[in-house]
Amino acid sequence: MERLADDFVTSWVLAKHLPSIAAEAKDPRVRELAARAHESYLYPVDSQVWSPQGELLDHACANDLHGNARDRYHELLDAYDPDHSPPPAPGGGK
Amino acid sequence: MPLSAFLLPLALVPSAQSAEAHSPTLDPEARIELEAFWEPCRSSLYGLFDETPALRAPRAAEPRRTWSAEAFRPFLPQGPVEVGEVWRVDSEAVLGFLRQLHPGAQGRGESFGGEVPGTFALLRAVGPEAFELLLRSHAVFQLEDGVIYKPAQFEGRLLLGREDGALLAFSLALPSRDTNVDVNVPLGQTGPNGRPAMSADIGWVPRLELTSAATAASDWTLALPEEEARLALRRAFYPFAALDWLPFEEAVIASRERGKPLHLVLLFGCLDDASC
Repeated sequence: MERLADDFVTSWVLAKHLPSIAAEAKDPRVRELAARAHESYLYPVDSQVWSPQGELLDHACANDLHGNARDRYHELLDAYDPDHSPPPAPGGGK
Repeated sequence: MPLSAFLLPLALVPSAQSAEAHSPTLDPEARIELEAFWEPCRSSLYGLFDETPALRAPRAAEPRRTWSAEAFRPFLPQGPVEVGEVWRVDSEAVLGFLRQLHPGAQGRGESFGGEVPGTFALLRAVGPEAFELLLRSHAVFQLEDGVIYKPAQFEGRLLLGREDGALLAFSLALPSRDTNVDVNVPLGQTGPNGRPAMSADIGWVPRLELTSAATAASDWTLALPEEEARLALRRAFYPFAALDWLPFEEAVIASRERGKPLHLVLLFGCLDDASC
């Protein structure tokens, strides 16, 4: 949990809302990510990790997380390697 | 498996609190009438609410009922509490009220599945004339024909006279948001685990509520803002609520701007309630 708080931006969304976000959001990057997240969605609960550049790095369906849920979740979070990732895109960085 | 099962537990985060502690009391002779409202589902993912007799036109078991102070006593804290302080409530106390809606109200058990059961309360506001307690409770209804009805949560609001312990107002309601009720309907077959096979749906029920007559708004000398109070109760159920969950659009932009990866959870029902 500490890792999520420190190293990630976190969000949840109803999968059924993604098509309308993909069609109507003001920001084109939001529209694109919404469309791709929806394409990749695994019912019923899908945890996804995206790079800051908008690349889907890994995802895991809750129904596939059984005895090894904790290890698999850490593996999911490990999908982002800051040492092998390009810097934030122009226009970003507060 | 619910997401909460693997988003690891954290300690309860304390809320903003005042320095002064209070001990709300109840007049043992107090009584209050509650009216019940239960509307059908307005929209759902798979249409099961319309197809299933037990779900099509739900009706409250007792449209009106008068409750005595004794039923409310378990909602009070065991000792003095400050504004914002959270305490656990015996869920059986809430179930008594929910049985005004349907006798099949349950707090835990097989039909509850992986959701987090229980009831928590906090002292939300203090004024010269009244105390306001806010509650959050998770319960399910075992309906007719083996149908299981899982409301997202019930939010309770109890207004008590500060000096005399009068029952000024009470409501216990399912917050109206898209989506807020999950249902399991038996298919009439046995599943691979030997239990009845179920089909599931999730939808929006605009009103499911017990409420007393409206009362004039109270003057508060100290009050926790509504959203902070709700967050404190949410955190009592879900340790992951301690994270700063941003709305989707905001999160995508923040991820890019901060150069941090985005941890995104996609669901068919809301993350922070018992309907998913």
